[in-house]
Amino acid sequence: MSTRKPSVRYHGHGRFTVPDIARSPDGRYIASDALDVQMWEAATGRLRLTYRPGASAEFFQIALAPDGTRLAVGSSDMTVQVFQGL
Amino acid sequence: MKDQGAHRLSRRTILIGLAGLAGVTAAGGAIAWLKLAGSTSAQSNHPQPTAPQGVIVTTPLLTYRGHHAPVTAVAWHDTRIASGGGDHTVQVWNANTGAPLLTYSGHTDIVTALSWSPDGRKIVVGAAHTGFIQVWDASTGATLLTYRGHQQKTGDTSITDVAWSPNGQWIASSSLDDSVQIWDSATGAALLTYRTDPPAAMGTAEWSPDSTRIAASGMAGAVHIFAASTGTTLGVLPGNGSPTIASQ
Repeated sequence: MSTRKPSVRYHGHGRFTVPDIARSPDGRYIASDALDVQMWEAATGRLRLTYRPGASAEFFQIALAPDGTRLAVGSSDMTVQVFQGL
Repeated sequence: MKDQGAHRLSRRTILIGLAGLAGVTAAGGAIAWLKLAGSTSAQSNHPQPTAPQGVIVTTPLLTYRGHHAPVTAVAWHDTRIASGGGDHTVQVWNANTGAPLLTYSGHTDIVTALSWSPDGRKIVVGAAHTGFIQVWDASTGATLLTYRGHQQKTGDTSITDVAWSPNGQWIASSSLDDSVQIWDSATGAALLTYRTDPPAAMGTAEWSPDSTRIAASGMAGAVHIFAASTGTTLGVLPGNGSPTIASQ
């Protein structure tokens, strides 16, 4: 057993709880959600895409399409929204 | 009925609220698993520069409106998406058109977790409070088995995550009952129960790509990696005191 250390810490959601994260199939990106959905580089933590629809809502779980190009996210507004990723 | 729904929903909100400031830890958990999975990404402990927001997307390609409560679980397989939530249903629909394909109503509480079998034929679903998990046929909606291994304890036995092993053989489920359990996806036979020391409510469970290890995160914040066949702890990513509720 060993103690591991994080290689990247991502702070893009500030103090908000992050209910879910999802990894792109190629491992390059992590999508994380709170009041918006943010897609960032797994190796560097650099933010690459923000999904922020007009109405305010909280997002719960994220799922990526098998090819990683689209994302589906469940919302507190009772919808699932599919949007274009990277 | 509406009041009851609102009450139950507030419990889910509390469940999520318990997580407090989990973001940083969650991200840490994710990267830990990437490293274990063989990623050779460069280490970077430097503070993040003030990042531009990258591409901003404001309009969805598709909005699915089949649920009548918040949607707390989503899983994608090929051209289908399964979603579940506060209305206790799981709905399967076409990812390209949004056309509904199937509604599954076998659960009696908020759907908190779902996972497709790798071949897309089955879905495993866990819910809040009730503590039982069901596997059902994704084409017909027929219930194939009900797993009750998390119902041995009194108190809140909400299922927080379910994950189908990449090789299709097993399902890992995490629960507020302080355990991650591994069981046979075809028979429901219990194979292994993993608890941290000291025991902690568990928030997520994720398989390694080769189906040999599991990364499980706890409401105590740490991420534990253990061998799926023996339950031996292989590594721990210490938490920062905030619960970890997301990992990949």
